[in-house]
Amino acid sequence: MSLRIDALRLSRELDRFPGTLLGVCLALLGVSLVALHSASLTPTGGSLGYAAKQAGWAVLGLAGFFACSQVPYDRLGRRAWTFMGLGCAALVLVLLVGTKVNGARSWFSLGPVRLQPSEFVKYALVLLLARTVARRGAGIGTWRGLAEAGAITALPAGLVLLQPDLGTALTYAPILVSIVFVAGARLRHLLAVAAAGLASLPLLWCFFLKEYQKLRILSFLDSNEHALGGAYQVNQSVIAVGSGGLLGRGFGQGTQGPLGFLPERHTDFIYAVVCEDFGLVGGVILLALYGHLLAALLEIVRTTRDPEGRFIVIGVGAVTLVQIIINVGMVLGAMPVTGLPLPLVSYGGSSLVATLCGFGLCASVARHRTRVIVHGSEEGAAARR
Amino acid sequence: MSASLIPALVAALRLARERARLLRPGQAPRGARLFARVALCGLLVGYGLLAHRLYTLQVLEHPRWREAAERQHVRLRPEPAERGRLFVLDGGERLVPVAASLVRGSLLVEGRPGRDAVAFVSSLAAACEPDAPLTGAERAFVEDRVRRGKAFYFRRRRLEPDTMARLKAMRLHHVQLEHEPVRAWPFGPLAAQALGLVGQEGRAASGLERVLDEALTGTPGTREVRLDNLRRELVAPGGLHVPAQPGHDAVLSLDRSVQAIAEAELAAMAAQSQPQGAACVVVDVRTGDVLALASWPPFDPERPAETLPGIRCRAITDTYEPGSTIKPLFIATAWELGLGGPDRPIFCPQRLMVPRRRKAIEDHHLVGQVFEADVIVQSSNSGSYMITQRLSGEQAQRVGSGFGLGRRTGIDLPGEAAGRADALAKRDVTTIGSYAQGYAVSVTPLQMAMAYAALANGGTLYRPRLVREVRDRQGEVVRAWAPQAVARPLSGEVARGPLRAALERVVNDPRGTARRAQSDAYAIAGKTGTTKLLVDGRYHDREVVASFCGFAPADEPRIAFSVVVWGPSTAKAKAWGGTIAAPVAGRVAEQALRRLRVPPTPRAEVAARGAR
Repeated sequence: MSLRIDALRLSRELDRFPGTLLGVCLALLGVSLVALHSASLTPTGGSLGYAAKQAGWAVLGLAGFFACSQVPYDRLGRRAWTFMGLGCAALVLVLLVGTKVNGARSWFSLGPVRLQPSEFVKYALVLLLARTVARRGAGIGTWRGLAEAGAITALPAGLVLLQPDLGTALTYAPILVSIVFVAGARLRHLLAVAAAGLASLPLLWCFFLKEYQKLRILSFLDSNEHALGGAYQVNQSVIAVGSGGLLGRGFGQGTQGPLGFLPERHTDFIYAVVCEDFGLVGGVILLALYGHLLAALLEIVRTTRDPEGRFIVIGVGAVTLVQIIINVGMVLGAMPVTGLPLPLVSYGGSSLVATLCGFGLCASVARHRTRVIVHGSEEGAAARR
Repeated sequence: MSASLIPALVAALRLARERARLLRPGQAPRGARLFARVALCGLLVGYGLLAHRLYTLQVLEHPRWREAAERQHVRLRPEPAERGRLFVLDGGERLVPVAASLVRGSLLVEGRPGRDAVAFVSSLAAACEPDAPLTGAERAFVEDRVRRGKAFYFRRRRLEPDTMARLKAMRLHHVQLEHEPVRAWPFGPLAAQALGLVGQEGRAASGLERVLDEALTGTPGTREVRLDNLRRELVAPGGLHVPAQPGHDAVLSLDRSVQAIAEAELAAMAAQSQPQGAACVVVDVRTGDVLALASWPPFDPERPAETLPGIRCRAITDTYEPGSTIKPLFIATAWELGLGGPDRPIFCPQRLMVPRRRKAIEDHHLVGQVFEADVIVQSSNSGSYMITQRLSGEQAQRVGSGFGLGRRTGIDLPGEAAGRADALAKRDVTTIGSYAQGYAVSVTPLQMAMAYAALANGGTLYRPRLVREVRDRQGEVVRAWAPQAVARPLSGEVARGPLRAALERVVNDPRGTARRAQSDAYAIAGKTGTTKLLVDGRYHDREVVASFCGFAPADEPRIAFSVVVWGPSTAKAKAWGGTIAAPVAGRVAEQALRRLRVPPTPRAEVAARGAR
């Protein structure tokens, strides 16, 4: 008897577990290891060993994924304020004792390991926004509700901007926008905020942006004039992608990567390595994998009734989508340079572990949600309704 | 394009289905429906743009980007061809190289080699230490530029092969290592003025190197290499490689021993008399081959900056008034034309006043009643004038053209001076009086050596030959130069007979002016000359040009020579051709003939000639 019940529970578990999500994540991790192995090659035939290190981080990240998926998301949501508090404390601490890499004080150095708290804060913010907005309900339709959500986002974003890490701070915006949008914020409110944002751009340009940031935007607008300055990275990236052609030069056969012309080839420009080695085919397959990942998330959104769970998945999906578009756009020379990693593929322990934890949250939503019936096909769910 | 859009379309269709479901009334809040719509559009647009961009770069513009990638990492590096060697004879027998190319390393720092100035400079200095150490200033320069992250350019040449190997192993950033041939001179400064220099880039700068440049320069090869972003070179396996073809070798007429003897004797003389300059030319009278072309001060091609004053090949670039050494040319011509004879008596006053000539023609001492041959032996100015003025203007000019005065000899060297002989056309007594004493015309030491070679060989003037042949690497002769006679100013009779005897007596007769040129082994013939040094168009009252021209052995001449000393010290005694130049000529001739294995004149005969 108990065996039957266990079998039932198991089948229900399996039914609820987002297998597609995990499968796509594993596929992307596989792509990542292949690409990182190629990006580790040095001109003399040696290897910088990024792939092996990343494999270690991937194991840790997958552990995080399962851990997050096991805990019911509303239990985590209840502690959202605590997480955010810890996150903000870490962001303040990193400003004081952090290590500076590429001009931004974003890292804790713990011996050989470096941690970037802003990556984890991203998902704390998702949890907190989902919680607050879901509890406020229709209140998001007012200016006050919107302002509250905005304030919650502004605190960590401001701390990250102080590092200064504009790219990561920018990824906090789509979390806010997507969640309040889905929660039913008034379109005219959002448009008004967007208009105010546009109007303040010149002020931002004059008083806020650093010289190198302006240079990046200028060089994006006119890459010839700045060929040796800000556009060097993008030029090299475009050369790498373009020289890959339809089928690519072959695994590890690229020249832009191993000869060192492509900067940050294992982190921000990993997509260029994929495109140089595997050509248009490889680039499209990777994009298709991301499409699949987003579709898997949407599937969870579609079948989740609880607003908080839905907001969590939407927040995670939005931040992932924006990172993909911005990163790939940058690699293809269609966007200005911002130091955003490609989710799950770029080298970097913090980003990988945090992203996998974020997907773990989505898995938790999938496992612990109250389901929405679709097409009346799921009788069990219908009965629960 | 369509291929790249497929995933975007798949994702879009999937989302479209989701949207339809999401929009079912009562199941999702209004915001979610709107979100789905916007998310769908955003994803479609974003994916579409990315896919379009991907297709444009990788398919449409692929050739352009592939080329851009090649351009920045593939270099066709020229591989320098080894420059041909210059050979000379040694003692008239075996060939020895006097200039050859060695392969040496060259290091070029270009760009911004990173940040760690101290480490970079110390490894650079350590690698260069044994054969090309960095100076303090260079260290400071490199360190400063590296520390400030500035781009700079620094070159170091002539690195030994093991230094290059060390540098290669270090793989320093922005350091390019190249192999380039450098010129080496096995005998150091020997004949350096004539051989000339090759610049750092392998371009001939002067001398024979420049004249023979086309033959000596080989055909450079090409090698394909890969560069990384720090401009470090990597071997490109299977890349293009066209090997370089070495240049041809040249065989010169110079003789290493004779050249060395001439340079050594000039240096010994210079140590005593501290002249402004000196030159010694030795030629083979039978062919016009230049055996020695020495100039003092010497020039060391290994230290060009320090020895720059010696770079001029004075034997061909500097002119002087020949003085008494020109007298035999006029007198021999007069004898040949029947306007006199060696046995005719002549009275040579110590002071000859010539009508319509302001200055008297003076002798050093009274020569008195002598034979015309003694005019040469005792170098009488008045006697020389009296004989020379018998020549018509045309005949005097023929002396100049026949012996090659006032005309470039056509030696294979750049920068040769022509001298001047236009005074020979003038008929006024002042000018005739001047050129009869060797003033009013100017010559180079080489011109005089060639003229005396013509006196010695029976009257044939040769073009000086400096290059005998050009050979390829296999030793096949590519081009050869034959001896070239350019004029015949005298018939053999006078030249071989009385003139030779008179010139020999200049050296061996107790009344001769060049007794210090005497040699125990060989009978030497020649004539001294002393003229006032021209300084800025005026004659210096003390400084002189002392010279001696002659040939040896007197009976069967093999070599002719000229020794010219500009401005020897007159501090201790008045300088004369006989005291300054003649001893040098005598010693050079004796040693040169020995090295050329010319049998010595029997001792008794030499002594007897002196007694005659």
